[in-house]
Amino acid sequence: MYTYHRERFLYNFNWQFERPVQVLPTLREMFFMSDMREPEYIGFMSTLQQQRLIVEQLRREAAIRRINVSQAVEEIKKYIAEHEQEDYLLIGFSSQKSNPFREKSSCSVI
Amino acid sequence: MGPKEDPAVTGLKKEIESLKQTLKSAQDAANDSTLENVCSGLNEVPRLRLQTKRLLKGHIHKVNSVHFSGDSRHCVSGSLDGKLIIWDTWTGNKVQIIPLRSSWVMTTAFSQSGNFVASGGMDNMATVYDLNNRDSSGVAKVTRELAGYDGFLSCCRFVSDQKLVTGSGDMKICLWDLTSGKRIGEWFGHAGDVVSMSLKPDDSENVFVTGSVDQSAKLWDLREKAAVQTFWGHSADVNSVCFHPSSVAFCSASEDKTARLFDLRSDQQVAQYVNPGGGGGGSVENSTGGFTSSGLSKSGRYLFAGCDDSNIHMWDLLKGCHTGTLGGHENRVTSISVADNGIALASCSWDQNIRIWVC
Repeated sequence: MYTYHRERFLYNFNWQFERPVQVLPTLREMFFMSDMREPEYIGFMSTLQQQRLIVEQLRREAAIRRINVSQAVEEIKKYIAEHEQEDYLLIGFSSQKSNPFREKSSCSVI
Repeated sequence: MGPKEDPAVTGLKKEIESLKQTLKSAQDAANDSTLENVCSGLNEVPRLRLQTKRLLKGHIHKVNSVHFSGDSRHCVSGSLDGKLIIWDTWTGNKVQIIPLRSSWVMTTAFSQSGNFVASGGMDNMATVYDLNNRDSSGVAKVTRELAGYDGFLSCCRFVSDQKLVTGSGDMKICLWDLTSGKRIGEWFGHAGDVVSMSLKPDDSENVFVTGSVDQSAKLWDLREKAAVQTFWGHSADVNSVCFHPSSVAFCSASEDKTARLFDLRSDQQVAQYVNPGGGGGGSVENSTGGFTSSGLSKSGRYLFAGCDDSNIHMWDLLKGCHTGTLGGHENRVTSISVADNGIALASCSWDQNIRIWVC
């Protein structure tokens, strides 16, 4: 689970092999939330309090109002269409003068 | 045989399972169409031809993080050589070099105003530097050293010049008041390191989304005590999240070699993006590497993701097709940042360089 981060810090600046010390989270903190897929965590959770918190959180999440995917995507489409003209990565620059990254010419007006 | 289970615990377990079912069915009920269907009438966008307009050299070790300032001109980069460099991307010059007390930097953030930068990493602290206030040797002064984490600092963002929100390896999210140096809030909820966060464009003072090693992304509101929504779908660490400029959706990029688009109001994943991969198969198995970072263009039409294979991949968000690759880096791309004005994309890599891509 932590391999991505562990891998990045095996060598320090002087190319010496150094494994940084990483403090693991406490058990209490680790099992606060259960997971939608089959739990490695649920097996450990035995305290009533933690599970009550999870139940409350799931109740809150289940109670939110949802709109249909089709409507949601329509709104994303609309936003993109409205802002396409401002997206310089998409359309580029009509006049290079407004591009701050253009190559500056070597001639300048004295 | 283990000890006998408390009946109250069993009862709660059943309730958890049934609530999960309710959640799933409510989401499925809202899932009345797919992105392909809704966008089938759209034309494909022309291929983006982005080039490296600036190659920022200066770091002497892997660069882990880059972030643009609100002025879309300056950016900060943090590297394992123990330095933060503030670059002027228009000229390619280094504006400031800040030596860090610990070289294990994992994240950097530039405030919207451009006045402060924050960094943190394996030192388990977040340090804030004031760029306008330099000491006698010309180096930006440390305004705050925020300690109190039980794990490494993996991501941070300035909510404003006075407030910093951070995500860390101890799975919590902290809100700090920079004027007093005190923690004003702490949020639990993730079951793994909180590795990435992104502020909501239209409510950046209060709402943000985080991505975590527990394979989920969560939406938080600083006014609420717990996560507002949780998004599942990824099958490995969610390395990066980025809000869509429309503020109603966000994209995420993950170790599972996919990038996904999640919609806030229908509370679910609406699209998935993979690399075409070596075999041209478009499947996850053929894909070349996990994604480390993500970004969206100003209109939100283009999705960028930095990958372990040293390239930045681009997709048309609405059509779902992979439209190109930005090659140039020689090693894993660790972080990308799109400027607020949408003109440039900055990317940094283990090859010690930062590239600014412009159309």
